[in-house]
Amino acid sequence: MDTLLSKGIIADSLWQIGTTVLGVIALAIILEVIIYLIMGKGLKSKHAIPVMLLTPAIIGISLLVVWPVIYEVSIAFSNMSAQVTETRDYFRNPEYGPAILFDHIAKIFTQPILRNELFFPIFLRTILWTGIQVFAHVLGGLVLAMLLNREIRGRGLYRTMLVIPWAVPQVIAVLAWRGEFNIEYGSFNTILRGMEMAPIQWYSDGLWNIVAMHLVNIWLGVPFMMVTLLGGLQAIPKDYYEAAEIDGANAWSRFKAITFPMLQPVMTPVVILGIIWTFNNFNIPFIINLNKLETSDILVTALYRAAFESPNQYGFAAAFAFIIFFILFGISLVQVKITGTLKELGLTQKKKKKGAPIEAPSAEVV
Amino acid sequence: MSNKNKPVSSKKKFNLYRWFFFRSRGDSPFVKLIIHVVLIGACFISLYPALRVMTVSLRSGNNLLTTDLDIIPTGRVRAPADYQASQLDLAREKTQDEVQAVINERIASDVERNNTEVKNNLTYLTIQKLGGTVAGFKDLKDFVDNAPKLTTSDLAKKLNTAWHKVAELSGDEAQAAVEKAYGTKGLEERSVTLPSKTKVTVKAPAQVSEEDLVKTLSVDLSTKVPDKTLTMRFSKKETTLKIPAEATAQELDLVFYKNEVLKERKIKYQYSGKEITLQLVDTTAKKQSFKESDLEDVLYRSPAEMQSLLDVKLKDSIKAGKLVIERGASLKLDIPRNMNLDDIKDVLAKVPTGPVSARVLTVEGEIEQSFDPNIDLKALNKAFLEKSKTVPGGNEGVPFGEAYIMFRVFPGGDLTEVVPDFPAQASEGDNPAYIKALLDKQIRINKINQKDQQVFAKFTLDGKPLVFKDAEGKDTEIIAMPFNLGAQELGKDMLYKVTNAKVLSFNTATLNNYAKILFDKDSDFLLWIWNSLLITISTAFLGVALASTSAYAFSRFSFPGRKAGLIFLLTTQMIPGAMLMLPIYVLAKNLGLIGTWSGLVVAYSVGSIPFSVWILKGYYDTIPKELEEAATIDGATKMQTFFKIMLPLAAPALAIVFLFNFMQAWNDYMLARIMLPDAETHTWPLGLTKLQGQFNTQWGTFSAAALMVSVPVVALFLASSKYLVSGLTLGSVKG
Repeated sequence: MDTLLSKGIIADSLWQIGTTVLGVIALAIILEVIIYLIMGKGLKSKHAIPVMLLTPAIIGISLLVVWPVIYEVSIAFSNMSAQVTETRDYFRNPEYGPAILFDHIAKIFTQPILRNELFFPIFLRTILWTGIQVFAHVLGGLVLAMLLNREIRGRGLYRTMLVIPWAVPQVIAVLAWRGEFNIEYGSFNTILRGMEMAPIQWYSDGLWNIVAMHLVNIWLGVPFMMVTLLGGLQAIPKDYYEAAEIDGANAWSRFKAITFPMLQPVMTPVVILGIIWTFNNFNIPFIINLNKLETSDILVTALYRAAFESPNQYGFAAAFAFIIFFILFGISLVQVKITGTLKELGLTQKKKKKGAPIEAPSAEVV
Repeated sequence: MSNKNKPVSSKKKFNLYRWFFFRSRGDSPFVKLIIHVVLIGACFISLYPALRVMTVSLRSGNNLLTTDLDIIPTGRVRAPADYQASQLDLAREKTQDEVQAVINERIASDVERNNTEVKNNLTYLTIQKLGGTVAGFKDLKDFVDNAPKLTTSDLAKKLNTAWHKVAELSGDEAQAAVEKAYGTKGLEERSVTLPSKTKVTVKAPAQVSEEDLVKTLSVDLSTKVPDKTLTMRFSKKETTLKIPAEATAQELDLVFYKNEVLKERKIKYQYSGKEITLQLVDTTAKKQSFKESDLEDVLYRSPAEMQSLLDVKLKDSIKAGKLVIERGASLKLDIPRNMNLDDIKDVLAKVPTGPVSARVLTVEGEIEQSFDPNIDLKALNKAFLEKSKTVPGGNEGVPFGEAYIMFRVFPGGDLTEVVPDFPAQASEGDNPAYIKALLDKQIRINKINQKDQQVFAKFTLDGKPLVFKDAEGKDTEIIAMPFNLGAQELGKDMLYKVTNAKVLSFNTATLNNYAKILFDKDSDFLLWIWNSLLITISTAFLGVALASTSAYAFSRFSFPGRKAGLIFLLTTQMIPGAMLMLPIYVLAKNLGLIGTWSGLVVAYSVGSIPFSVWILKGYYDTIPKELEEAATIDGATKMQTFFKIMLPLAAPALAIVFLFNFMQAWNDYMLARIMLPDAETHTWPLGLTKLQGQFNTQWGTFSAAALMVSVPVVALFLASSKYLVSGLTLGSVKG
C-alpha cells in the first residue's frame, strides 16, 4: 500500500496526540496543586475545592470562548478584510475606531448583507425557519414518542431505526439528501415524473430550495425530540392514566391534563436548546444550498459568506455576528421570562423541590 | 377461557397473533395495526437515504444517484393531424417547446392561407424526443379505417413502389442534384410535382422536361444500396420483401402509414431470431378503437426498434465503437497571499506547458498560461507553499487567499471513463453533434452558467478525438460537461438515439467501490480514519475529564457566581460557530498549532464543556447527597468521595458525555478545515468532502466511504442509546 498512512506518520501522530493529552493532564495537576496550596492551605478558603474543580474548564473556556469573543469585539471596531492594497494590508494592519463600527451597523441595516438580500428579509426567514423547524420537531417527536410508548411488539426495533437520522454523521446525511434533490436523478423528481408532473428545480428555485432545507432538517431533528420526549413519557406513572380513565376522561383530556403538563419539564429545556441549535444551524442551509442562492440564506450562513467568501470583510462580519448573537440572546431571554425556565432548570434554589413530582425515569427503554 | 375444562398442557401452543398483539393488554388489535403501519412508514423515511447510499455504493458506475433511469422522456405537442413528422423540422436536439413553436408557426401560416381545416383538426403528436419519430394518431386511425382491402401481393408491390417515392430529394439537396445534372446556367424557378404529389420548387433550365426533372429528383434506392429481407406474414401466407438496407425505422413506418395498405386490420409484429414477422389480423368490418398505448406498442414500432426493445444486441445491430471520456475540471487552486505576480510566474515557469489553458487571477492582475493536462496539483501546491516561505511575509500565510488559479486539468485515473460498446452512428460528425446536444441539454436543465461550467471533457471514439463546435462555432476538442452525466448514461442516450430503445441499466452490484476506497494506492481513506480516530478518542477522554469535575462543582458546592456561571455556559451555546472561526485561527496561529492535531484536540474538548456540564450537573443532582455524607463520616476525603462514589454512580451520564464528545469531534468539519491545511493531517470529513467536490462527485466511492464512516458511529450510538435517553431526561427533569 502506497498511501500516506505510513509507519512514520502513525508514530508521529501517536507521539503528538500522546504528548498533548499527557501535557494537558500534567498541566492541570500542577495547577490543582498550586491552587490547593494557595487557597486551601494558605488562605483556608472554603471555596478551595470548587475553584480547583473549575479551574481547568475556566482556563479552557476563556482561551477558546472568552478570548475569541473579545478579539471579535475588537475586530468589529475595525475594517479588517483579506484585502491587500499598495498602501495598506487590511488583514494585518486594519484601521480601528468606533466610527467604523457605526458604519458597519448602518450598513447591516440599510445595505445588502451580501449582494442583494437586505437584513430584514434574512432575519424574517431565519425566524420562520426556526419556528417551523422547532414546531415540526416537537410535533413529530411527540407523535412518534407517544406511539412508541404504547404496548406494541417491536418497540425497540422501531426506536432503533427511528433514531438513525440522529446517529448518522450530519455532513454525510445532508450530502446524501442533497443528491435526492437532483433534478434528474433525485427521488423526488423521479416520483414527480412518474406522476407526469413537471420536475422541481430544487437547487435553483428559491422557494423549493427552502422547502428542501426544511424537509432535511425535519428528518434530522425529529429523532432527538422523539428520544427525549419518550424518556419523559415513560417517567409518567401509569396510575395517573388509570385514575383518569376511571373518572371517565377521554384521550384528549388525558393528554391535556396529564401528558402535556408532565412533559413540560422535559420539553422546555429541549425546546430552548432546539431553538438555539436551529437558529445557529449551519450545515443544512449551507450544504443544501448548492447554487449559493441568497434567498435561502439564514443569518448564520449569511454571516459565514460575509466573512469567508469573497470579499472577506472580517470587520463587517464581526459586527454582524454580534447582532445575530444579541438577537438570539434576546429571544432566549424572552422565552426564559415567559416559561420561567430558570426555575425548571434548577437555577433558583428554594423552589427546587416544587417541580412536578416525577420519579426518575427508568434507564430501560424497552 | 374455553379450555378451562381440559387438562392444561404444560406447553402452551404458541400463537403468533396473540404474541404480536399482546392480546390481553393495551389497545385493540386494530389500533395497534394502525400504529405499526405509521411506525413502519416513519422507519422507511428515516432509513431511506441510508438505503439509497448503500445501493449507490454497490454500483459499478460512479456518477449517478439512482438505480434505474428513464433516459429520455416522451414529450407531447399539439399539432394538426395531417402534419407529418417528415414535414416538420424536428431536429433531434430540439426540446418539446421548440418543436411546439415550429408547429405553431406553421399553423399560423396555414391559417393565413385560409386553411380552416387545420385549425379544427388539432390533435396530439407524440414525439419521442431525440429519436425523431413523430406520427399523428388521428392520421393513423383514419388510415387504418379507410384503407382498401389488399392482397399480400398488392401490399408487396405497394411497399416496393412506395419506397422509391419516399426517397425523394427536396430543398437544398434537390437543388444540388439539379445543378449537378444540368449545370448552373440558365436557371429559372420551376415547380415540379413528384410522384408522391408533393410539390418541389427548384431552379432548373427551362428546356429540361418535367419527366426528366422528376427522375433527377427521385433517387432509386434499390439500385444504390444492398437489400435486406423483411418477411411479412399475412394471415397464413408468407411473403418475403426486399427492402433497402438503409431503410430506417421512421421511413419504414411512413411507408406503411402513407400508402393506405390496410383496412380494418390490425398489424402485429413478431420478432423471432433475425426476422420480423408482420401479421395482419382480420377484425371484420366493425370500427376498431385504439388506445394510444396499443398503437404505440404495435404500430409505432419499426423493426429496428422492435429488435432493440426485445434484445439489445449491440454488436449485431449497431456499429459499436470504443468511447473514451477523459474528464477534467476547471479547478481553483489557492495561492498564498504574500506572493506577488512575479513570484507566481516563477513557480509557474517550472510547470510543464501543454494544450490546456489556465487563468491565474490575483489582485494584481491576470496571467494566462497553458498547461499539461495531467499536471500534478499536489506538487504544484507544495511548490507554491515552498515559494511563499522564501518571499516576504513567509510562514504566516493567510488562510483565505485572494489569488488563485483557474485550471482545466485532466487528471486521468478514475475520471477517465471507457465505454467499449458505445453506439457509433453511421455518419461522421454525427456523434460529436449529438453528444454536444445532450450535454447542452443537461447544462440547460441544470441551469449552469457558461462561467460556472467547471467540468470539462475530451472524447475519443476508437482512438480518434471527437471535434466539437464551441459556442462561437469554432472547432474544439474540449467541451464543458455537466458533472452528473457519466459515460454510461451517454452511451445509453446514444443507444436510444440509434435504436429508440430505452435501456434501463448496464450496472450490476459490485464491491469495487469499497475495494477502491480502501486499497487503491491513491486513496487516503485509511489515513483519514486513523487521524479522526486518534483525535476523537483523545478529545472524548479529555472532554469528560474536564466536564465531570466542573459539573461536580456546580452540583455540590455553592460559591459566588455559580448561577451566573451556569447561565454563561448556556449563553456560549448561542454564539454562532462562524463567529469564532477567525479568532480561533489567529490564536492557533500565534501558538503554532496550525497543522497539528494538538490544537484541535484541545479546541474540541473545551468546546463541548458547556453542554457536557449541563448534562452531568443534572445527573449529579439526582444522586442523593446522603451517600457522600456517609462516606465523609467514614473518613473519606472529598477526592475519594468524588472518584469512588460520584463517578461510578454517574457512569451512564459519563458514557453519554463521552459519546457526545466523540460524535462532535468525529463529525466536525468547520474547525478541522481551518486548523488542518495539510493533506497528511486531514480527518475524514475533510477527505470525504474533497472526494465529493473536487472534480465531479464520484458517487460510488463517496457512498462506499460514507457508509464505512457512518456504520461504526451509528452502531456505537445505538448501543449506547439506552443510556442516552435516561441521561438526557434525567439531566433536565430533575432540577
